[in-house]
Amino acid sequence: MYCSDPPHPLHLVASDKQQKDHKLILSWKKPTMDSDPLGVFPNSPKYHPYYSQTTEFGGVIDLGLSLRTIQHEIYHSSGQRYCSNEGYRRKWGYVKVTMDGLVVGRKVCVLDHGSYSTLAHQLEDMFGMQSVSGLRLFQMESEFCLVYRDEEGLWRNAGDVPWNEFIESVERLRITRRNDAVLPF
Amino acid sequence: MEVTNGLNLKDTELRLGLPGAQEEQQLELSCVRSNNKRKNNDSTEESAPPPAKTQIVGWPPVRSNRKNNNNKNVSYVKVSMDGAPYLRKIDLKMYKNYPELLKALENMFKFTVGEYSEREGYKGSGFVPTYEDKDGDWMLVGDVPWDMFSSSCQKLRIMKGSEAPTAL
Repeated sequence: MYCSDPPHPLHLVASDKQQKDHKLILSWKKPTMDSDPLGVFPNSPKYHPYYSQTTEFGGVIDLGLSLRTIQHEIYHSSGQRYCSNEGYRRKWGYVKVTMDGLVVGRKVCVLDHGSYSTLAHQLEDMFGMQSVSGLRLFQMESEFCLVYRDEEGLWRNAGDVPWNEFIESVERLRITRRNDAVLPF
Repeated sequence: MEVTNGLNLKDTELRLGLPGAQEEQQLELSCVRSNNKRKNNDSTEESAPPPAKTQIVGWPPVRSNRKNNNNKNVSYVKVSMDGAPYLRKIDLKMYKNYPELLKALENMFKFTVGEYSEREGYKGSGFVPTYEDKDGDWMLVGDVPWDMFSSSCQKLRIMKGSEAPTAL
């Protein structure tokens, strides 16, 4: 009698599992049924733009062979490629230099220099008279520091990257006081 | 019997007459249509020449002001000097380099500009020629090549040396 009792619940469990399997099968069938309307959805948008296209062109179907389309693409591509400011700066190599507190800025040609030291020397000549002790850029005890705006529009500290990378990305220079540099731009 | 024969003959005569009348009407209609078409053609031919002639003569009329504006060889910019009561305007295209421009400004405002040097700018006279570029920044005149300067200069201002370095 004790031995016969355990088999009964096992059978019940098996029957429950079988029922679950049936349910799973039913649930599996439902997505298959749903897939049909899903299949219809991509068809309708495919047909809709075609229909709208005909209406837009007044009943004339545009197969993409018209000269207007080709010309438009050419114009768009040429428009994207043309960038006067970037080409202008890279051609001349001149960038603006402004010092905090001064209204008038100067321009320097970064391509004329081969290192940070020569650039600092030129800036010393241009703006050194604004301070009794001079700018003394790139020196520890200096109260001024040089920051530059790169091609992405971010202001960075000059001297952190190698000179060659600096001249390729610099768009503008700014001489600021070391205390002000901590403040966000 | 003859009378009956006569009636039959009359009936036949009437039948023959109706189609003839219809045919005549159709012919008349066709004639009228052709006449109308001819008239339309004549009117279109007459209207064609006049617009061509007027275009050649100069239609639509363009005012002289606009024609002058279309001229791209002129580049007028305002010139102001600290202390001067009124502004002046000059055409940058008339000058080919910095010395010519500076001489013209000296004659215009009766002052003397110091000699330019990359290191010290304009030293000695107390006057500093500056210009506003396309970005709206005021820059010192003379740092960049002439072509670059003339293409980006929007305004000119002759500042006094004392104000230029410290003004804000």
